[in-house]
Amino acid sequence: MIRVEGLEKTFVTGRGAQRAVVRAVRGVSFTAPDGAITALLGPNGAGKTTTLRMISTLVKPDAGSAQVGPHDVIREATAVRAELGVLSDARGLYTRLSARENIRYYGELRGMSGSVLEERIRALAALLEFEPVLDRRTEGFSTGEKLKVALARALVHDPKHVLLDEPTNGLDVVSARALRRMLLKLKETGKCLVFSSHVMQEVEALCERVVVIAQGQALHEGSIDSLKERTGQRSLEDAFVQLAFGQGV
Amino acid sequence: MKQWITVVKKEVLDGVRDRRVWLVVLVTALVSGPVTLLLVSKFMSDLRSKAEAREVLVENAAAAPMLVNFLERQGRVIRQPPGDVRESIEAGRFDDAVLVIPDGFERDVQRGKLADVTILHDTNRAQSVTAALTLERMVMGWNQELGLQRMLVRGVDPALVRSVRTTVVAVGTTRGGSARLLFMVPLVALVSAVIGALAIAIDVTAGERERGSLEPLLMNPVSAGALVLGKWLAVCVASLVTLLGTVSSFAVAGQLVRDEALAAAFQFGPTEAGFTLAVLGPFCLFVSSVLMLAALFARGHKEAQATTSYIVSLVSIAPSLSMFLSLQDATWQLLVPAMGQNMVLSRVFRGSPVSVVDVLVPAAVCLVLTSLALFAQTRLLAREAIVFARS
Repeated sequence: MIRVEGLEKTFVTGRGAQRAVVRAVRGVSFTAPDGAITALLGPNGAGKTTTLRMISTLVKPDAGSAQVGPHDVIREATAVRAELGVLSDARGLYTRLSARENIRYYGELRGMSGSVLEERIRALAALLEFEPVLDRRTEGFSTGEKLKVALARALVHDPKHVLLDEPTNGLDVVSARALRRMLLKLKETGKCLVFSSHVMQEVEALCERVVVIAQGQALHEGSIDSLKERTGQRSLEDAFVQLAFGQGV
Repeated sequence: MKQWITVVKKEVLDGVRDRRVWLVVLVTALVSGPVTLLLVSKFMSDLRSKAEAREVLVENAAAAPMLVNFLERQGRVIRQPPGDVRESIEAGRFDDAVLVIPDGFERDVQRGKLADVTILHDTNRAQSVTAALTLERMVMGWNQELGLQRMLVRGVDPALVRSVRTTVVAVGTTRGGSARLLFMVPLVALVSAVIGALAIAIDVTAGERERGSLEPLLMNPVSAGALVLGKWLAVCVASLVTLLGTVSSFAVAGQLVRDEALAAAFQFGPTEAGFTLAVLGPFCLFVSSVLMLAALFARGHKEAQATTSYIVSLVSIAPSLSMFLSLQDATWQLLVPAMGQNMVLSRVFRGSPVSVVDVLVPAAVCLVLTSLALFAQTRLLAREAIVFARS
């Protein structure tokens, strides 16, 4: 389970006359249970990525707290990272290494080795359907192939908690469907999945729970039906737009 | 497996597969030494062949039979200069000097009047300057001979005009003279250590930021210290391999030199190579850490090349500073990386005494600065501005 309580983060950008203070996250709270997919739904710049970065320990919150399983993201950062698998906004691969070597590197950094690691790589390649390119250098991979390798890299240690930042961005329909199938499989194994998105259709197909974030604040937390009920709208998109942008949009 | 070993293995594999890294290592290490030596060897043999040819270029030789006779008595062969000398000098195609005799020169000499001659040469070309000095010395020799004859004719003792006798004695270490070309080894080797480390230092820092692999890397349960240590060791490998290649190529080239004079001026064998590696080894560790630190501030390869270019320039300039500023060997130079190493190696090659302190101080300075640079990087990796800002 991931529990987030009153997270806040302010960034200062630029210097001198260009200096600007951006309140990226202003008190976001939500709970993501195990065996479920929780969506962070919000427009661009709402604070979803910053929230995920705070949970993954890379950004230190100004206020609030977050727990991944039993571990606190500030006090037990290394333990949190060991529990988490993260597919972040940045998915850079090492282009001179093969897909297998990219995944193996992360596996070894997480203390895996030998046949256990090799078997895990093979299983992930089969699950994510990229076995034919497993031993090819990743230079020249398609967006879909890159994403699959990055995801396999994030899941190599079979984490209990998985964070995904807009995972279907740039994917074609077939790859996006394959990814969705995979997320559902992960959910069935009892994992806690949190993913950010602004694609309503995807959220509706995958998630039990949504957290609507706009202007750095969590405006709603609950089931998709509860969101529709609250706004009096029949579609998720209408409900989201009304909540995030107000009536007139 | 220790995490830092995993990082070293990955970065070395990544570097080995990067053609840019290998090209730089090969070109710098294997070519720089022999090519430099080859050029110096050609320069020296050109000088010597000119000296051996004993030819002097004289324009309008017919107007100075007495002077020509003197030159021929010195064993010189008089030749007419080819084409328009001034034009050749302006075009940078002239490596010699020409003695220009005006009409009426002989008549002026015989009448006891001051007779003018001109020596043309190119001040930008060392061989031309040497040839001009030789010509001037010969003309002065004839001038002296003529003067002595005139004094004798007038019954004046020539000893009257000789009040000073100069004796030039060469004082130096036993090797100094014979190993005068070794000065270029530390200069080339220092730069090779930097060039060898450069591409991989940029790739493991700014490269990670540019390709968006730094953020996911930091999400692993690995300390920043282990990451920095692993990356630094991989850069050190590249730097040390390039240094080893450069020094070995100098040593091999030194053994293969056929030219006796050059071989005497370039006595660089296994002992000198070993000493060079021992003195420059700690410098490789230092320069690897500093290049990484500079590149970590950059968001991509291009920016990193700009930030690291200052380091490359400083390492190229620092050793030459003592030469250009005519600095004498001083303890403070031991505290300046590149300068200290150059000073110690220069002393070794000159045959001057070198103490243990002279070797240990520059090494200690490098190790202290390396620790500081690595520590700074572990701190920087915790900065959001470094981790998330991408080009």
